[in-house]
Amino acid sequence: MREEIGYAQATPTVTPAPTNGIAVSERPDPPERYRSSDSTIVLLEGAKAGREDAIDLLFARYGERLRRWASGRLPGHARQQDDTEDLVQEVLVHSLRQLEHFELRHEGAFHAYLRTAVLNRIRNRVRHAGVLERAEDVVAAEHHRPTSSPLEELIGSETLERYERAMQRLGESDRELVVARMEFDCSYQELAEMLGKPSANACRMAVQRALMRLARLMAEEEQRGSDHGATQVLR
Amino acid sequence: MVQRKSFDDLAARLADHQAVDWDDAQRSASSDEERAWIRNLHVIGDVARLARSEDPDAWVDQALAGRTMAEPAPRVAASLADEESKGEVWGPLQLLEKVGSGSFGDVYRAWDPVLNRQVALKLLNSRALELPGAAQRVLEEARLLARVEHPNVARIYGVEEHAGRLGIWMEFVEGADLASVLLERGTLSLEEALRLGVELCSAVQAVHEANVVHKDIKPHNVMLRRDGRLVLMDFGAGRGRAFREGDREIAITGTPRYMAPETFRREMATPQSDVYSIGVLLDHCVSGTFPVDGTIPEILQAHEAGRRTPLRERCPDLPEAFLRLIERATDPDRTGRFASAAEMGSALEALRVRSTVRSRWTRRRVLGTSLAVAAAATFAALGLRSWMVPAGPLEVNVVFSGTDNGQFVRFESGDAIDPNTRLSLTIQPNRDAYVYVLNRDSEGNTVVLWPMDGGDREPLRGGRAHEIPGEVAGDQKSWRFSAVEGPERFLVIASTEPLPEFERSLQEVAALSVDGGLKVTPVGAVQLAALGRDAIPGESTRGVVGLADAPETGPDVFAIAEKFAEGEAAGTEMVQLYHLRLMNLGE
Repeated sequence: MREEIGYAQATPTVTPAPTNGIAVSERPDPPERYRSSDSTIVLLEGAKAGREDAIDLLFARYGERLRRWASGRLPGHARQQDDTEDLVQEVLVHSLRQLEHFELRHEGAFHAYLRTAVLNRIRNRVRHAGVLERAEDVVAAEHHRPTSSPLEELIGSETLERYERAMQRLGESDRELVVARMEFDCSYQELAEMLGKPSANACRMAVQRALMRLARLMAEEEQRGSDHGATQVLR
Repeated sequence: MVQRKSFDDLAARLADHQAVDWDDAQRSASSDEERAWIRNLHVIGDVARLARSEDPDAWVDQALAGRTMAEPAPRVAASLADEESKGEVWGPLQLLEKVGSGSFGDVYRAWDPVLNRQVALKLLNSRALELPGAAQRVLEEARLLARVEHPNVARIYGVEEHAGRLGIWMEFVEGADLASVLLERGTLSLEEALRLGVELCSAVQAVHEANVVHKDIKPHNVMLRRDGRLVLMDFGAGRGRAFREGDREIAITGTPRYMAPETFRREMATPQSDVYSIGVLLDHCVSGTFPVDGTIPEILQAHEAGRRTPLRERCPDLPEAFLRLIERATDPDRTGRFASAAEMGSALEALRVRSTVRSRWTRRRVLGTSLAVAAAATFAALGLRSWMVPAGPLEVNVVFSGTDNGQFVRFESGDAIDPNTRLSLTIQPNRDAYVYVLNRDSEGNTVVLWPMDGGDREPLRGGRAHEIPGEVAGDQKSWRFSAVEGPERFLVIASTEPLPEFERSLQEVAALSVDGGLKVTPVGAVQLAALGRDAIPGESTRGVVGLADAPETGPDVFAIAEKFAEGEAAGTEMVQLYHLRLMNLGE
């Protein structure tokens, strides 16, 4: 089993990085008014209690990031600005409704949760669109609507699947680092605060290590794919 | 084999959202495995970049065409990819290698056979010239700049159009750009920033006197030569690009974080616009942050709303005079700024003189040794950064890697190893650092792996990757393991200062020596079981922990290290520790 050991800032103790068990239920009394400087955990606590100001702040914090992320994953016909925003809004509303059913250990877990939720929603939408396309293939052919997302155009759908499979196999903390830093563009300082890492620099190195591990898993997936292909031929 | 440093660099640049030359990385690979690794890192970079993109369609179009919209491209234009360019001729020049690429085009190291000198050739792409009159403007500006003779301005040698591409060739500057230095160092000290600012203002003033506004002053365009001289590059080449803000289509030229507010309003750039950029650059050098930050629309909105975070709020401990200077340079109203780069340079120079006098009395002592001593040593040792005073906390990248049954792997805590495993360490400190590496096996046998007995005790140079044990007596070395089953612990200590007390403790511990054996400690009956040269040709490894009998009363150096760092080193940020625990499976 692997374990993460980062730098101890000027202390040589072998104490592991701070545990990431920040339970939503352990937070103090809610404030009178939530602020944009409040942590996501605090805002989620407010949202859980039905506080609209907390919900608004969460929308402001995640809406644009998720929209950007989703727009690269949606095929052309489902990527109108309004469509993407609707999708993100649906996911956020749904996610906030589900809050009481799970406990977030830290903010990074919420990032990863939202990413999965949006990805699932996109897959549903694409599948639904596929059914419609088949039913209305004449219309689709006339309009030449692109059926692949920008990301699929760039790297190919098989490679994208390989990336997603490797992400699933990546350790939880590594996955949270990759999502928050690489896909949601959080700064290292933000990462340190949300993941309970000792410093921004420790986060930077942790992200680098996570990227190397992700690349290794992708290579394994590639190998599995080629092995699988060879087996198919033999059969 | 790709240098391990290359993998680290690739991952570091990806993590930092920096551009990567993937073609170059692939060319460095020597096996299918390495190529696959690099290819997958490239995919990760593409996925991440697209996830952050404002306009995914446009970004994909440009990425597929060979370059990105807002940051240097990971792919090279097909017409002049590096492999093809070797030995190629463009106009009067022979292309030697591609050394960079960006939204404007590509930069090559080239050879001028007429004047027998190396030059930097910038080949602009069609996108850089798509605005009406852009080509003519580049030509005119190059002609104006060719008249500039200033030690801090890259000398323009020529500008021509060949093979459908406009090229400008200029002085080839060997060194590092400021962006790379900041990446390594984090931030600069005030003294360094003042000195840099004085030279930069002098360079920009010279450009202004040639009736050219730079328009894209940022760390990437500030080169630091090996002899310490600053050289300003990339004049007037900022390419215009457009983005949507609501129902508005907005065109900008430059790099948004460094752009003056008026340039977002499509007002003509002036020397005061460059003064603003210098102010932001110096702000960033000392703070690592920006007065206005975010996506392009967010930056635009912040400027329109007059929202900014002044340096004094981000770094309140900086001297008041410096804070006022930066506030003046970055005044949203251009009339409130310094009238010229020369005026700003004078203000910086005055502040530098005052700061230097004061700092002689306030320089901090760390671990009982004055930083001034380290500074003097570093000044003597470093060429590239001879103008810098070592400052800021120590940061160290540590990677244990090697071969495991013939496969190249990076080792993480928890990984299994056996006597066939070969291990080495790549370490890259951001500053000069004394490094100590210790190993202890499950039976408590401790060996000092570094520094090697009889070897070099000098600090490792900052900003470079070092392989340990590396080359010893002409052979490339790595460590191998004994057949003692159980956990193997490694401890790496890096310090900006030598640690004499700690070193004295190490004298009681067995240490690998440069003559190919193990220095037997005076404490305990240490015997060697698996030392000597390895049977693998060309590798010549040594046993790390092949000690048959544990020293009976040997000191626990791990405990010593803990005690040391909890004591005098605590809070200094001048010492960094790294632990690695591997599981030795034995035979």
